[in-house]
Amino acid sequence: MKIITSLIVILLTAHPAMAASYKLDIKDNKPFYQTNIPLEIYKQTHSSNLQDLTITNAAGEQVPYALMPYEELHPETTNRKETINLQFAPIKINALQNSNNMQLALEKSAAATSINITTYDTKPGDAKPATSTVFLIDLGTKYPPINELLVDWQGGENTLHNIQVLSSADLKNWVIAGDATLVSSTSGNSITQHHIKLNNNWNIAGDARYLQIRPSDDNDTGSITITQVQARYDILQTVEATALWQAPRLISRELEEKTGLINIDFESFWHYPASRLKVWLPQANTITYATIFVRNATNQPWKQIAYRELHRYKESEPFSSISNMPAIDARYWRLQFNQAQGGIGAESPTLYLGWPPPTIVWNARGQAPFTLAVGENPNIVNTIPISSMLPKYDAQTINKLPVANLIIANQAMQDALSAQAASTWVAARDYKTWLLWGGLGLGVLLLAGMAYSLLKSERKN
Amino acid sequence: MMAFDHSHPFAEYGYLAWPAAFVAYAWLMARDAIPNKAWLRAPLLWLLAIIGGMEWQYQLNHFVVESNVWNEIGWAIVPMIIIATVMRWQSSKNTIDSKRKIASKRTWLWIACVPLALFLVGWFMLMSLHSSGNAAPLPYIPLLNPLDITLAGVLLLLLLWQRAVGEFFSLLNTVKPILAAIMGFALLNGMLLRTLHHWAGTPFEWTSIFSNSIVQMAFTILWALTAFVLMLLAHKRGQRQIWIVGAGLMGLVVAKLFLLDLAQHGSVERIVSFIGAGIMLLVMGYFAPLPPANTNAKEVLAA
Repeated sequence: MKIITSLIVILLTAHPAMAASYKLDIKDNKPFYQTNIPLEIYKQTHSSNLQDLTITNAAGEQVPYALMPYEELHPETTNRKETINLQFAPIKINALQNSNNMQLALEKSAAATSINITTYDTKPGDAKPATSTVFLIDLGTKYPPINELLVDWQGGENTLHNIQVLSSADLKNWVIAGDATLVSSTSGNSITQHHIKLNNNWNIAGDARYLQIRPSDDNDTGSITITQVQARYDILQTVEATALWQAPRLISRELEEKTGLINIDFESFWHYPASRLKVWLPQANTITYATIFVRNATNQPWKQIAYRELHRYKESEPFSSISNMPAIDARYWRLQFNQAQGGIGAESPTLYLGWPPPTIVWNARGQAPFTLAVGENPNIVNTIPISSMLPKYDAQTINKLPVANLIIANQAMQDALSAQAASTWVAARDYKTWLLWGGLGLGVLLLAGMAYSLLKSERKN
Repeated sequence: MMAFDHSHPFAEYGYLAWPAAFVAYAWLMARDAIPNKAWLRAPLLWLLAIIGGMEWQYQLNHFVVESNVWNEIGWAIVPMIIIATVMRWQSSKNTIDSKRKIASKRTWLWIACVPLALFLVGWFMLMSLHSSGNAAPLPYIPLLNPLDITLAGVLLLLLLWQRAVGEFFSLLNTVKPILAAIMGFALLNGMLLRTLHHWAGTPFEWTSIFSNSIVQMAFTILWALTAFVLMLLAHKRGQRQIWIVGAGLMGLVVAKLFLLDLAQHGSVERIVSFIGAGIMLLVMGYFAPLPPANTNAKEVLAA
């Protein structure tokens, strides 16, 4: 009896890592939903790739889902449009057509830069030159990859103006770089079209320095006067991923006297596939180098994963970031500083582990409410490739799916869950297996008892 | 009945209703409010077996989804528990014999338990022959797995039950050794086939005895060993009938060797089969010769 009581007490007071479940908030009855994974899920999971995650419908049936990596749904770079003003000079078209007889003079003063163009008389007997005005732009030798011009002008309202843009490297040979029809309507509905899209390969050789904006028709005497020309171009910009962060617990700091190495060890709470790190350096004006090691158990050797420079130049930027790492799921992390290579002060830094979480795309089969459970080792994980769920999928299609958010429990529950989550690195007790083995053991004892009883009754007979 | 719509009897407060109903029925019987007729009392156990079996199916099906054997054994375990409980109850009442006690024993231990025992025999044969015994999430260990333990338990319990009810149906005493031998042999063969299936990767099909050289070799050795044990026991006890059964089994082994094993391509298994059977025949001839007719067992032992 005492043994049984002790067993019950042990079972009741044991503190295993338990599964957590969350309701999924769905508004409509759609076949597919996307759910962003919050940090709470990683606090419960025992698998860094979320292999213990299930979604069930009201009947308790698992529904299929796909895990979409962050990178597949969120571009790492984006194009940002930039605009710069261009200096231009109006000149008569015949001046450019006889560019041998033209002289350009660039005058720069504190107030403005001006271009003086002097043309020589044409030879007797030449055909009467066209008298249209063109606008000459000198881009210089270094300029961004322009793909569009924005033009403002005066005059010629409510009229279509067919415009050409030519490019040249030497003011002699011109090629068409783009064309457009400009329009500015001031009567009734205001319509303005002042974009001139340049051909993609207008400067394929990379040596075009001059642009001219001119009417498509040489005989167009020019009813508009260009007042401003702007160039628009795209800048490829890196997009900072929205990562989930955890700060592993500082567990020890040791100085190896002989080597001058300072080992600062941290312990991660959760199964967390970190792909970027942030190190908070306690002192301003710090520059140092750190070797980063990981391991999953204290009896395992440390494995080096990176050697990076860490710095803190400004008071306002206390973090030194390390990105572009492969995803690493490790329990113990070590920052090793060498006293001979910068070292670290008396105060220890703080390590942060970051991970851009995947998105779950799931099929809402059956009746709501749908529940997401994580933490218990399920027998079946109903994950399928996204191509099986959405045959013609792309990032846009998935991003347009309705979002089903997790309904996170109240703060008290969260605190309780977090306390449990601290032990996700410790293998959960497998009560089921122990119970089954116990049942078998009991069965064997009963068999022995029956065999003994049979032998006893046989002896009696 | 709503509970059955939810696929297990304890749904919809069934866990309260059914025990309450059984307790009420037992209370009425104890107060003799129900006539002391077997047909009015015995069905209580049958109903208990059905309800218990269904609930076991449901619960184990949810608790262990890795394999079916854990819920399949429920169909045997619940009747076994019922029979064992009735046996214990009746044996505890045997101190003072009376007509009433004998009537009670007849009602509960014989009439009420016969259908359960017959069901257990049928279940035993079905599971011995058709269940692979996959014990997932536990590994398959011969004898230490849910199916083998339950099958062995059924066999032992039926033998114990037969001892307790032999007085009501004397034919049981005649049928018992034959049925026990068949069931025991089926259990042994089933265990071997399941072990080979889980450990050596042979198919769990009885037809593999004709096609798979490993299965053939294993069966040859098992049957030869069984025959040897039977003949040795028969020799020790001076029971010629058992010795003849053993000899018949050994004859079957020899016939199998020539008719089946010899045709196989697996030469190593064939050699092991022949050598194993040959050694067994030699050992048998030395240790377990035919006991003399009409000889007292004690004399044989003394010799």
